[in-house]
Amino acid sequence: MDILFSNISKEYQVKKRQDNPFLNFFNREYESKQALKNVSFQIKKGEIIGYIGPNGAGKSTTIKIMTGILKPSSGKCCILGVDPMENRIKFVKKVGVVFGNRSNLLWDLPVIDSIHMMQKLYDIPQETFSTNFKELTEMMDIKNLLHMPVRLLSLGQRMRCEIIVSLLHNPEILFLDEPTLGLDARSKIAVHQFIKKINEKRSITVILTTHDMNDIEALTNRVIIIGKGSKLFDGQFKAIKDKYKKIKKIQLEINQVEQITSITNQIKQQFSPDYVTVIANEIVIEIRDETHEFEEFIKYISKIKAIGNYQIQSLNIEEIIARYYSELDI
Amino acid sequence: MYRGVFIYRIKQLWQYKISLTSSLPLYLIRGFLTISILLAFNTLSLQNNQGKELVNYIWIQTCFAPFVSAWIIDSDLNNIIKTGNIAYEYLKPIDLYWAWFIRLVSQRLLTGIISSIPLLLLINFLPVPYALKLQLSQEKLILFIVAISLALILNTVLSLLVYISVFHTFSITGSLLIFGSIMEFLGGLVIPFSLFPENMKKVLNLLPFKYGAAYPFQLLNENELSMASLIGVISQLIWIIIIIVIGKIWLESNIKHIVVQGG
Ligand SMILES: Nc1ncnc2c1ncn2[C@@H]1O[C@H](COP(=O)(O)OP(=O)(O)OP(=O)(O)O)[C@@H](O)[C@H]1O
Ligand SMILES: [Mg+2]
Repeated sequence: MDILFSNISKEYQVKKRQDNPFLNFFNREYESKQALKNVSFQIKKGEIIGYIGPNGAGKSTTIKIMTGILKPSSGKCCILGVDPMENRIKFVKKVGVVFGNRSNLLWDLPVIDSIHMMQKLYDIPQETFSTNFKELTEMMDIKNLLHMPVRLLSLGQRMRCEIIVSLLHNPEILFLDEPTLGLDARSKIAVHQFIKKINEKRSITVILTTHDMNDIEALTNRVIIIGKGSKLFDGQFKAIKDKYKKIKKIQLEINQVEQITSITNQIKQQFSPDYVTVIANEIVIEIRDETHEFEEFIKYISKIKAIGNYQIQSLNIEEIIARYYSELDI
Repeated sequence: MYRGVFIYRIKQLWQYKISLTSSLPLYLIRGFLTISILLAFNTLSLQNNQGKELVNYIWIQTCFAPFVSAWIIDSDLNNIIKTGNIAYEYLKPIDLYWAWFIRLVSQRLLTGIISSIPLLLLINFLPVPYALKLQLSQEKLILFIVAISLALILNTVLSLLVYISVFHTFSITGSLLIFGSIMEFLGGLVIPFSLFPENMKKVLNLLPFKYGAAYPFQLLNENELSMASLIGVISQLIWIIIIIVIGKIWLESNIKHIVVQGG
């Protein structure tokens, strides 16, 4: 087991702020805020895990605990056989971390300088460094960025470099906290392909938090969902998708706008749709494809002249996860 | 490992070499003004030894200002602590205290070397009341180099305390406003040490600040090196150790309940 997380809870102590900065300095009054409640899971070597949940769920808090930046209030965290809070210097040589909202590069120097600095800081032997450097820069296709100052890079270019820098020392686990934050579709795909390749090549364990379900679809089978600090799901992502597979979304375009209300009412009476909305000249309906109702419904709409055009879709992945979050009440 | 911190910090600062060298004339003017004011207020005759010593003191202080001033600010480090980027610092296989120490020493060293120390070449040749006139023996020079280096280290570890306090105050300027002013005043940077009343000098001898500033400057004015001069070096060493211990313990305790901001 690479990662053992057992009954971890975390309470943040938030200082009650005083208006006076001088009093603030000496202020010792705290309120506590529970960010994680009894979270447990295990992750095997070489797995890619999607760690997801709504804003403020406790994802970054979990990553910080796993990387030894934060001490859990209770519970036991064991990464690669050690407690990340103990023997920090030895521990950090075995893991790579990327925080999508922060930068680990030297802001006003060329990227290559950051890379060489990491070589020095991590004491990476020249040979390992050269092969690694060559392999990573080729895979990520950043050769032409190496001599640009970091401050001139676009977000996507910078993120590619951040990921490279976190892998130079051959870590056994890679933690990625929202690595695709703010990237365009193409950069995201580049990052996906890279993570997949590096996972296959080095069988490196990857923990990924994200709000973009395409990341999850592209990279992981197993997801862990947390909400309000508790673990709510741990299993195949497919299981969640299957749960909503049956729901069909039908968009009807109405030619005669006057009839839109009567059609809506008819549909509501004859069928039992999960959900009906009207936007301009469109009606959007959701029906479960379980009983004959769905077939009946299709027959029904093909008969009505006022309906010019219709489209049948399954829920997309973002919709599915939004539903699932609502269902879990998080 | 720490060499990496040093090299790339220097490289980073080297980007600002132009603005650093352009403060050379500013330091020169500052030296002139300070001397003029002091001479006017003290109405010292120039034959007077005290007057000459004062002029030397001011020049040495000016030339080594980046080594001794409390106001050499590493705003990157301030941001690292304040914004939570310390997470990344903490994930590197280096001791935070020493990594930050190297950062700050490199900055003071580089700033000194290119923005004020070159003045030493010039101020020997100024017209009489303003010129730096030192009688240097070899031993005195060696002792001065030791003392100013130790002063650099002492001031750096003192300023590290200020950076560590940013965990609580969230602003380096806020912290410096209090601590920096005290440090500079008690160290003899605002008013030359020799002008303090005797009683006060006795008290200041017991505090670390003088050993980071006034002590090495006064050394150059002494006619003969005495036991007292050597004791100064020992005091520097003792203070350096004490302050490192305090800084490490304080940083450690902050890190223990380190709460990395944002995420
Ligand atoms: N340093 C802190 N002090 C106090 N409370 C905090 C601190 N950091 C996080 N929290 C709180 O803990 C909870 C979990 O925060 P966390 O950053 O782990 O969320 P997250 O799942 O990463 O959210 P997001 O998707 O928005 O990044 C939030 O309610 C947040 O307000
Ligand atoms: Mg987060």
